[in-house]
Amino acid sequence: MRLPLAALLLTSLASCASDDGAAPRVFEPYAGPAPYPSTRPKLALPDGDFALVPSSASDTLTLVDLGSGEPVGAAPIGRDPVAVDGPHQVVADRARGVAYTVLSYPGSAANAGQHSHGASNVAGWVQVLALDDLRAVGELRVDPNPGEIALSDDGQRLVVTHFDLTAASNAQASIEARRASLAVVDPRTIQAFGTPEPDKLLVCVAPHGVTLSHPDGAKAFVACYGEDVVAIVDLVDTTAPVIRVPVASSVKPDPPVGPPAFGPYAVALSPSGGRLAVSNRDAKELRFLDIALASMESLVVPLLGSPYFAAWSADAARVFVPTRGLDALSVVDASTGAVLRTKVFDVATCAQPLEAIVAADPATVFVVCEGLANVPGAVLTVDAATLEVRTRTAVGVSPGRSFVGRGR
Amino acid sequence: MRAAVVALGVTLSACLASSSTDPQNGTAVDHGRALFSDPKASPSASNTFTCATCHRGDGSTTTIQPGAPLAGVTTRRSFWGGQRLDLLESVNDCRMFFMDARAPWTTDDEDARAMYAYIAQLPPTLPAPVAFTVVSPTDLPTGDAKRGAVAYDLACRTCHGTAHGGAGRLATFIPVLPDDVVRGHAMLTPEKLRLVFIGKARMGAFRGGGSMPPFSREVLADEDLAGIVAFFGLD
Repeated sequence: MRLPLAALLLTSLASCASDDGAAPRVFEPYAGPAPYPSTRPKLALPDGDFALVPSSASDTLTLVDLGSGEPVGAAPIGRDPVAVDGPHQVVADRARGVAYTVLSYPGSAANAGQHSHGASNVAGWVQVLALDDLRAVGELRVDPNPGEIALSDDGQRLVVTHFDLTAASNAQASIEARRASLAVVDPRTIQAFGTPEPDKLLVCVAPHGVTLSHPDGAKAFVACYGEDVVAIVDLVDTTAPVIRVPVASSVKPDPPVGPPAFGPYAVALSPSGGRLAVSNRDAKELRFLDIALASMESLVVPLLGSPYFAAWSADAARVFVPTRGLDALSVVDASTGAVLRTKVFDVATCAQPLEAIVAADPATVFVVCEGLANVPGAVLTVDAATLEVRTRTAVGVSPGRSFVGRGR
Repeated sequence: MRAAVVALGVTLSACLASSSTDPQNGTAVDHGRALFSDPKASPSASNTFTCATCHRGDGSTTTIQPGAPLAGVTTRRSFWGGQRLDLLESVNDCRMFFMDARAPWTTDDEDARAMYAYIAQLPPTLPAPVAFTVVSPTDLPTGDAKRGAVAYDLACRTCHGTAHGGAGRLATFIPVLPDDVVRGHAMLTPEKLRLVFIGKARMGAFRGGGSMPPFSREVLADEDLAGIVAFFGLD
């Protein structure tokens, strides 16, 4: 009896002490006002057209009132508070009240200062931002060198290309090994932290520009820069083989490592979804894919500069094509291929045009100008008929592809 | 037997009483203050940093700390030189980039709430955002080694220990300066090796990984950093 009682005494003493012999500290719970109250400025969307413009060198997102040509709000974005995150594209889902931006980390001193150009070894991310104040509400890790993102019209499918030029230039590797993936995710599943890796489909060599079929994004159309093809990817039956359509009959099925002959870099789907405009950057031409036939049309539009991200007019009669080399905006007749008009920009107005965006008002086209190194870019409001510049709004350094919407 | 039972009763009474009145118990502010100096602000077993390693709370310091003083932090509108607009996000930056935490605190976490209780009661002596200039790593003019020796003691020694020997460093995985770094970059030219040190000091974990916090130009002047490089014999 004596022994168990002594053991009980020792046990009670031990339970009273912490591991290091000191009594465990017990603290009252915090009972003050809500901790960490937000002091973020709220973002009021303008009544008319507005643009959300990412700056890949300053890691900011700027809200531009396209009616007045004035920036009306901005916020820092990105996961890294010190190094460049390289946000270079933003899309938005107004119904959900969120924007998605793709962070493409430079990964080396050679690329320091703006987003990756295909040679980074740092994982990319998609960051989800609340539209009311641009706070981060979700994140998704993807592969290094995320190229472009696209969101389906219904907001239920988001895809990300990976512009992997390191794999593309591996002369020892098979064509399969040189190809990179397309990440596919239901954006509603992206969590604030710890989102599982998305599905990834191997598509082609150096996939870059991408767009989705209307309205549910059942198919992705990918500009495959390193393989001179357009990849058509079934996102419903992901076991279906990827269809790779050469952008020209001269393209060989297993292209050698090296600069592409055509370099398809960007794609734009017509409003009806029947045609795809393909910007062949290296060949300085625009071509068209017949979606139903999954084959290229015979129409070829030679351009004076390298075409980037084009936009269709609402009636599908014209395509607005920004070009570089010759920094300009051209209007192309989508039926005949005739270049109807070209506006050449001086460097102070628009250096390195990146994309054209057709406004809700068919008389207006917006142009995002990437600018020169360390010189802020701009968003132009352009008369769709005359291509005269109506307004110019300076934005951050190295602006990326932007989202244009119409306010209240 | 009776004596033993009485002794047990006394022991249990004392134990029970300590949980409510013992000075070891405390408020949420006390909790936050304790956490401020405790590596357990991150659950990672490999973490050796505390908030106090980099920030001044309500204590004093004679060292150069990479993090801003926290008195007034809850009234500031931005952090990290304007790259953050949310205080909790900034706290989580420290926890996840430097302290190896794998998940962010939320406003529901009692530790996060206690930390807020602590920093909110600090005197609001610095209510405005604290400047933090991010410097792209570029080479610096040759520095003064004597100045560098002083700067090393103030800025580097807390974590890295003594130069060349590492005595007193926070953890064995923290490199001894400059020897471990020089050995690890033996293939580099002297010019590039200088940039490794300069880049790491300026960008910390945001350049090449690791867990080192960055020193802005505001807390560590270019002259001091150049001096440290000279002190390392890399001039």
